[in-house]
Amino acid sequence: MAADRGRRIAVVVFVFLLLVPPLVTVLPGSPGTMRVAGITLLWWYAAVVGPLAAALGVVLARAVR
Amino acid sequence: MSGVRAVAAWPGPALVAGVVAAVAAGAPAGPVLVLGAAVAPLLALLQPARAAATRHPVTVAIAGLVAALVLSAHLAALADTAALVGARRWHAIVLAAALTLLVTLMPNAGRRPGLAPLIGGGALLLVLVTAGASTGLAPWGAWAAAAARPALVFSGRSPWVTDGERFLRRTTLAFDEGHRVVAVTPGTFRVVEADEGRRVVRDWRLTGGDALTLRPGDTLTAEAGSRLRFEPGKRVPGAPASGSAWADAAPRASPTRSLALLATLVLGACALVPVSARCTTAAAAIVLALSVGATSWGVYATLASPEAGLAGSPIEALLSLPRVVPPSAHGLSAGGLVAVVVVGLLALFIAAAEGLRQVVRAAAGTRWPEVWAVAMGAAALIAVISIVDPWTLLMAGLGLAGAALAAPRLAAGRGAGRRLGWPVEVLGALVGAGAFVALTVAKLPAALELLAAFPVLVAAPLGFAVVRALHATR
Repeated sequence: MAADRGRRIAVVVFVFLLLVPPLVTVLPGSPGTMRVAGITLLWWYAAVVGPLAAALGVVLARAVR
Repeated sequence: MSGVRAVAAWPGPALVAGVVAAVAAGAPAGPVLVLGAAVAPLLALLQPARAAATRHPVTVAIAGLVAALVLSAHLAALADTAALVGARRWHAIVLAAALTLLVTLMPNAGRRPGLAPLIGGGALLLVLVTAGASTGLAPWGAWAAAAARPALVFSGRSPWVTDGERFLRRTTLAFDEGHRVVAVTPGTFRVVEADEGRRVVRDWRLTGGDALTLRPGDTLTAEAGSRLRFEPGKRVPGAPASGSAWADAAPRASPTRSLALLATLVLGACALVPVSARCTTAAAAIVLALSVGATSWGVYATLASPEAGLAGSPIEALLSLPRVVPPSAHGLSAGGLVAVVVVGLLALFIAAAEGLRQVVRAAAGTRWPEVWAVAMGAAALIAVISIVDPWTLLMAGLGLAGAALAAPRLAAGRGAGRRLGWPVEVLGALVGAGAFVALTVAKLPAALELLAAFPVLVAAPLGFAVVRALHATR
């Protein structure tokens, strides 16, 4: 039961991770275009932060099982 | 099932090339594509455990069709690779299909599931590191340098300038400044001139060496197989206006198209990636390498060769990077690195094929062993006769998989019983597949263009709803 709950939470987190870029494009002020070390926040998120968070999430969710 | 084997069906040549090309071209959907390609297979690993797959001829036929479409996308990518290095398309298709059938049908096939993805990923990583080192820039430094360019122009060393390159597919180029192009081989070119608000269409029959002058606002349509030479220092037609425009294109992406792309990737992954993976660490490492590696490759490619993509295939962006490496780079020549890329793509194809074979096997069991060979044969045929690019075939395969395999399966959960003498999941699969095919072939009005591009948006909810509704009626 706890494992299934953990899996469901992980699924919700993953869906949120995927929805961040489309949400950022409709936010006022274009926060996705802010640059960190020359690269926009949106690209940092899409190429590094999002996949890394998902990778950690799936490992954790499986560990709970 | 190991994590490597679970996600092996995912990063095939068409997906890798599509992601690299989107980054290199500065496509508005680039970040969503990179994120979706990495997260979708991991999300699929979290699907709830379910009863054994429903064995039914309809499910087997749909699984076979999905496998044929996805395989044809990868074969088309390999065929484009062959065409860009000077070989014949159909030679590459037949060789890759035959070799992969041999490998996947060997008695000990599947004993070392990590070998093909390891060779494929390792080969591409070697080229990426070598090419990156030759530029002297880290990926983030290359990104900043690419974003700082005042304009994306043809370099004097570009093969499109020196010898002229060949268009792999019918391509229409939009010119933002005056440009004089030269036909390398005879061909017919359609120019649409923008003349004080009027559109004037002219067809030009050129022989080798003939030149064509285009003005700002004109478009030029080149047929597949024709070759053109461009002027050095001129803007690349169709490319972003500047490095800044390339870097900032993503926030202008349409949210609805982004969501549709994500739905296709996630549902497709749910159909192709099995649930029962034990070691998810390896799977997580693979998709992380895919996102970081493909993005870095695209950034280096656009910095070195902003015109990569003119030929009408995403593979051009993938091959542009090893082609611009100086001969002295770590003892590896450009030709040697291109060969390494070809080997890497072939290995990724074999890995993807083995993963798809497992999907077909899960649907067919041991009753129809010939389905896999038929799917590979059909894929080779589609790849030979198809005029669309690998990405279109891949999206069709993933969309059909999502609508007809994943959605009914997710709705059925641990089993939805039988109605009208048929398993409910199969009825949902029939509705999902029927809706997908109908939306794909139908001539929809312009207002419904999104549904024509992503039929899974309607087909998957229909398949899901049918299963839930029939399951509820007892």
